[in-house]
Amino acid sequence: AEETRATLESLRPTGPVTLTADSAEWIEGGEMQYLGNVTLRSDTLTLRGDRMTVTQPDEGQFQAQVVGSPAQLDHAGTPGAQGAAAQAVSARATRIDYDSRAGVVRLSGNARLQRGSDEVSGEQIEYIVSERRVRAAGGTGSQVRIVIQPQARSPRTDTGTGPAP
Amino acid sequence: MARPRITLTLPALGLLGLIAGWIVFEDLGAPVPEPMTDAVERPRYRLEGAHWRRYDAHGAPVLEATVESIDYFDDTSMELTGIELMTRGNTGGWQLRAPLGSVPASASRMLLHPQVEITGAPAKQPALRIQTDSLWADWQARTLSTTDPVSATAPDRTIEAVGLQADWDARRLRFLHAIKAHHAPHR
Repeated sequence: AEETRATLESLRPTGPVTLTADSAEWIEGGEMQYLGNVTLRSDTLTLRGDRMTVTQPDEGQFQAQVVGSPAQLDHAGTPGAQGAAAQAVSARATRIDYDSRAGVVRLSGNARLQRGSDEVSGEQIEYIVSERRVRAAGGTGSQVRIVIQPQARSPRTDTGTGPAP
Repeated sequence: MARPRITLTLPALGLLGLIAGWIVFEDLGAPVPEPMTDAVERPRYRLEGAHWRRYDAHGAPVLEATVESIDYFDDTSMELTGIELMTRGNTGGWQLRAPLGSVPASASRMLLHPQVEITGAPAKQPALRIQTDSLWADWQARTLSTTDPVSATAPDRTIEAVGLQADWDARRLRFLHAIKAHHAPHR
């Protein structure tokens, strides 16, 4: 478990994060509210929305709450990686919460997440950034809809050992 | 018969001469009025090493400042140097520092200018440090404001913006335009 946590810790996006917006308000206690064309960019993750509240509970970490119509997330594929890790993930929802310590993004309200041709939609979706893993939850009384496109069938090889027709 | 008119004219000429002389004398003797600009540029009096506290209509302190010098002018304007000012809000205040400050005639605000430093003072506020070229501190409206570029630093973040507005209590501060912030979360 110790090793897994260390791996997760090393994968968590902790690079510098840049935020841009039309205006911003610093509120007592260190909370910042960004308003208008708000963008948060870290090394691989981009969040966009109309309004973003960023709190910095303790040293170094921060929590961002993005509201938009819709709020959007883009997580670039890992360069040089294979399979799912190479695929970019995009998502949108009425609200997106991102906790930089846990490395978890929570999408709430008409949530929809796409990776390649696969898609998940529901009231609430959780996406673990470092693992690129979706942990969907339907939310009160509504269901989750998952569409997974079958992998394209690989062509038969000469030895005839390809998959059955 | 023409003689009386001549005799009348001589005294009249004399009288006129006297009046003209008096006017010229008056003009010469009168103190030369100082040209307006000179009076405004030269302070009426100067204080050095001053501690300046201002109260509101209810006797509560609005601001406190220590200044190297204050020049007061006849038109009630002031010029200050070496300013360290603390706004006195209900629950806290900003600390302002600037080399120069000027209060226009009959104004209730001061323009602090370059380089102005603003720091958040209340306990709950993590050290917020802001720098800008100039800043209006208005003790009537109880606001701070500038339209100049602003740069701010706080633990693990920096913020660049254009223009700023803040309350007097150091509880709210708005960066007005073109915001660029950098957070550098660390493990």
